[in-house]
Amino acid sequence: MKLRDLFYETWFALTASKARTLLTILGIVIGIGSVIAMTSVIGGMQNMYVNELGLNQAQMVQISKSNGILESELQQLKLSFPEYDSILGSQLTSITASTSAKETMMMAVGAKPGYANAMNIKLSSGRMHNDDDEKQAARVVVLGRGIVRSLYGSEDADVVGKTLRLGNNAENFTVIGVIDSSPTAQEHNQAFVPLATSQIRLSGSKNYDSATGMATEGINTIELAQRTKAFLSERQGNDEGIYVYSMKELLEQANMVMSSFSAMIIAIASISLVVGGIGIMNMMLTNVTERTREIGLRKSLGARTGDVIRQFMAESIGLCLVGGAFGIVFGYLASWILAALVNLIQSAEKNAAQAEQLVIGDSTLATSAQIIPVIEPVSVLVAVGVCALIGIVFGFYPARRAAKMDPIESLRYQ
Amino acid sequence: MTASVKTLPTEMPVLQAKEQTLPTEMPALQAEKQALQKEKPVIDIFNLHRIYQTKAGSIQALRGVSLQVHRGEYVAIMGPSGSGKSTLMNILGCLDKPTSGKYYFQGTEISGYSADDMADLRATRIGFVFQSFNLLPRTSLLRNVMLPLVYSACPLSQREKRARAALKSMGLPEQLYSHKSNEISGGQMQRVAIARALINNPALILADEPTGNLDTATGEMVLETFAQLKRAGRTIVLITHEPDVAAHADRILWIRDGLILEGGTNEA
Repeated sequence: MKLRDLFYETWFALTASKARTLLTILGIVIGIGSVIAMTSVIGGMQNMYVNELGLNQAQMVQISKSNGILESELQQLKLSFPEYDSILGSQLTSITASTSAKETMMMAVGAKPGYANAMNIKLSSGRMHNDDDEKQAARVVVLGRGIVRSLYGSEDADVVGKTLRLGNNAENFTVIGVIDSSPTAQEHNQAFVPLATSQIRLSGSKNYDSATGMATEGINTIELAQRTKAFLSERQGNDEGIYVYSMKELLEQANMVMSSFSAMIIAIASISLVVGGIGIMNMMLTNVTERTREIGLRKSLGARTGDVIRQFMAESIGLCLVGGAFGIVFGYLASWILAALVNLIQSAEKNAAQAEQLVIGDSTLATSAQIIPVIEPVSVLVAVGVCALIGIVFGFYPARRAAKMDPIESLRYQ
Repeated sequence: MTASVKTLPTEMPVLQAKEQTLPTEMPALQAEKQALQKEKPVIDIFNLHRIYQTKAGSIQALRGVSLQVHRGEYVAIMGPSGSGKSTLMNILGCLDKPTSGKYYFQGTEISGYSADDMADLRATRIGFVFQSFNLLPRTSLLRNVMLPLVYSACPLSQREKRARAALKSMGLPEQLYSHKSNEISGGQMQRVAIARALINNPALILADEPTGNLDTATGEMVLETFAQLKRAGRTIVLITHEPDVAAHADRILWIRDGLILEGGTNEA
């Protein structure tokens, strides 16, 4: 029966002066709110990296040498490392592209037809180049939407079949497809041509600028990348200009940065929570002093020491839980506002860069990605748990003071 | 002749029966009193001492007090300030423990009781009425009267019923029951306090200067209420320093310097 009474008494005490209750829990609201806001935004950023930038291709290993990768080297890698399902080489050439009206710089990716598949590149219209194009070193190009916008005004322009001039020789190429890319993806500002076309018409070299290996599921790509790098270094005699890294490594690094950032934020917010807890304790002590006569009265009516402790602990915990609830709501609102702000700043930067045509082959992280805050049930549970804990820890001392009061003295208290 | 003789024996038992049931004032009252005396007293204290340790040294508040209060008695304890009457009341009301001596409450020795045991006693067997009423502020009369029921484990379904009955028995009109305690007069507040003291049907009512904060007229009304309670068979112990108030009781005990001077016994 006492539990029901406890609940009722707590409710009564907290609603007796709503203004005072709200002011008391302010510290908790801000503490919980900031933790929730920060972890939601950081969670959103992590998601963005994983999904939008292709970092979810965990089995991918990027290999590049500053003086190029020979075809023979590629074959040797394939032979030496059966852990790779495939290793596809590509050439990256920075070239001019122009229509009768506009001109822009872009990154031309020359690769065999299998490359696009391996990179999970989807088309929004037209087709990717095929083996026939490869045999003929055909002058065909698949454009990323960013290029389409730069040359034809809009990302959605119907450009399949159109002609444009590519490369230093200003040869006529036909657009055969458009990549369905999002603004954050690398391929957004890239154009794809057959490898042979790139080698003969654009770069003039047979060497690959980089190779992308897809390791079999279950293989530890970090370790594989290290071995691959060691292999190449040995052949060269040193490891200068050799870059081999797995996507997983990048992802882990990004996660680590985020985690440390997260941890720092949580540490700072925890200070706010401790301050909030002290505020609660302060208010409860004042409360106990103000209700000295009431405590004496309750004891005279038969309240045990345990009853008094429970009464005031319940009030303290109730205060903190209410603060936590408000904090969670406030936190999520804040996270949306924060994410919107970040997105706004980033799009402004990206637009400015694009306007000045400074973007050549997008490799910057966090461009105009939309951060969507992540709402995790776990963080809500943790917040509630933390609040209850604060209530217990900071409510105990005032509750004990109340219980230890001499009923006779209390009844005489003015 | 034979007929009347024959009817006589049947008449006799009826007459005898009537005689037996006919209440004769004196013997009946005497018998009742004797029965009460044989019954264990509500309060039976023997040689109570209470010594306080303060920063200024130790204070002997009670120096060997003994007294008995039987069921249905209305006793007033009178004394000046500092006489030890508050200390005595606190011990009688199980709010404090004596330093030495015995306290038999309803026949049970409670000197060895734990704090929780004493709390239970206060919840179920003792009702307090204070000088300053001590009602919960900003709380309805009903909730005020129901408060002891929280600590005496009364089932929820019965609480409001009992509270209403208690308030009614104090002559308070129903429309007041949901009013807050600070919205009524002093006399009404004290009556609510008495209703609260009665709600658990206690064996003992302890009143500490119940008319101290009331004007004379309202005070008289409250004392009349106590008189009614006494007539209903309640056991009442009243603490006061005013002779006019003490005069309402059946028995007056004087306390001075930690000792009872009259009515009770001293073990000095």
